[in-house]
Amino acid sequence: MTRVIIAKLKKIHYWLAGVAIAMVLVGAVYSHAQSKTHLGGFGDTANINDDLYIQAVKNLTKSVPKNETLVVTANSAVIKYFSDHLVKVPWRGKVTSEKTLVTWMSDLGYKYLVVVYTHGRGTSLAELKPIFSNKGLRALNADFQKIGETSTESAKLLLYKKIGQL
Amino acid sequence: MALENHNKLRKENKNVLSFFKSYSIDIAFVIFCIYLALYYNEFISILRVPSHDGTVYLMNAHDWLNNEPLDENYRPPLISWIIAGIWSITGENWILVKGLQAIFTVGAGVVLYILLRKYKGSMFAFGVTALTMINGPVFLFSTQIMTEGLALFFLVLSMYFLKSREEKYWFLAGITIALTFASRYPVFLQALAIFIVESILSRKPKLALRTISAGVPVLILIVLIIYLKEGTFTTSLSKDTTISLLLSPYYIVNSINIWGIPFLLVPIALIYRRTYEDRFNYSFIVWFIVSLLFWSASSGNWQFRFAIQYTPAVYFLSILAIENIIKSGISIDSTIVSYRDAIKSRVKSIKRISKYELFGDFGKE
Repeated sequence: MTRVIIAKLKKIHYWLAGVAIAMVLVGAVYSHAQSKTHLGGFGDTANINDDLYIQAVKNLTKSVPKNETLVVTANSAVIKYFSDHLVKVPWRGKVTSEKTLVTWMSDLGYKYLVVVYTHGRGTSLAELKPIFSNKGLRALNADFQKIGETSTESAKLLLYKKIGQL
Repeated sequence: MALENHNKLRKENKNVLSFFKSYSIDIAFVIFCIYLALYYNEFISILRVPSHDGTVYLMNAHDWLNNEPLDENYRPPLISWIIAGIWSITGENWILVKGLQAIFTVGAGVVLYILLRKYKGSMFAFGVTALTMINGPVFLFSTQIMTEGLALFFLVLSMYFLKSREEKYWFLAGITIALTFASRYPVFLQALAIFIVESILSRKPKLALRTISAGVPVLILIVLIIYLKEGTFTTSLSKDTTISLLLSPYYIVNSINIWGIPFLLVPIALIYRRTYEDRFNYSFIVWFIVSLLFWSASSGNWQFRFAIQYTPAVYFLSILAIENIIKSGISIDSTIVSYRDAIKSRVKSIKRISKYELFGDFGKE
């Protein structure tokens, strides 16, 4: 029987199979451990584990009349579901500057703007970044009045009202 | 009397031991599933905010329940129907459905294990299932309210039914293929590819007709329900439906990040002649190739999660590569058995030698 074992160990394909099995085991565990870093939305800074987010959305938007649409810069579905307001994201070339944002909102009769400020920016949409950057938020004060602000574990939520509508 | 009892007890102990020996991999799989469920629970219990897509499915469920227009009518309806069904009993609360997808993903793992165990042995089945279940995208996306785990479950269940050659199972396969469509529209293509392969392999048009006779009415019903509610039927946003003949290398370039190092074994499985000698492997090969080509043909929408439904095919080929390396008709199971027997006999002979040394001349036979 010893001879049989030795004969088997001498065959290269058993060693190859052993290497392949080790590769699969180590590779699968390593890949699982690394997957959070490869997948957006699951990292340590993701808002899915934010204890305060939903309550913050509810608190921030409770002063807005129910029939008003919220213009939001991110997390549109979450804000819609938990605030119970209609929401609209200003994108697809319609809004590229603060001026066009004001015009677009006026044309559609929207008065309220919710900026979700997270990871150093107020939006993930490239064309909206100049308006909703840290600097852009300060500039918003010319056309908008900040009427609410709340912080969560992962974000800062800011509620603005268009000045023309005050 | 005492001797009889002693013998009876010994016999019972022997039976218990032989049971554990025969089902050791199955027991390991059950323990794995329990750990997996606990691991899911750990992730899902700290989920405080649903993802964007998850929230849309919640809103659609709310709309189905309250007879309101759907928020996004191009989304597949099944997950929202299940949520609406739960809420119709419990009342609307998103916390209650947080773990819904994980149940289907673990269910897919159980069905996959049972299927592969029957045809490839329990060790092979455990390898493929464990790799699929701990795969990063499969696991992480299954912790969210999304459709990937649901579609995976119905796709694997379809394959389970199609792999049997009984008419009643092919009938059920028609229903599960239609439910794969309702879970996640594009995954229907993968179910269709598996169905075509199995239909050709079975060489029984009657079986294929059984599947079609069940699947087509359910498909029509699904489309009709949405059409009657929305006045239209859309399967995706127009920007996501553009297909390019120039295939994207995205899934190949990111293959290690998606499936890990085991993906490197897939080409090895495909170059072995032995892979093509077993007809059972055909649907897994076609499943992998069709899915990879389909998702790579998209002209702009590539994501890790799109690879989830054909992850079992990737790991099936990886484990098959290992089996092929061991090759010569020896399955992984039989190799382990032969090694185990060899080790046992070696241990026996060592024991015998040590007995001689301990008892000196008394040990001589």
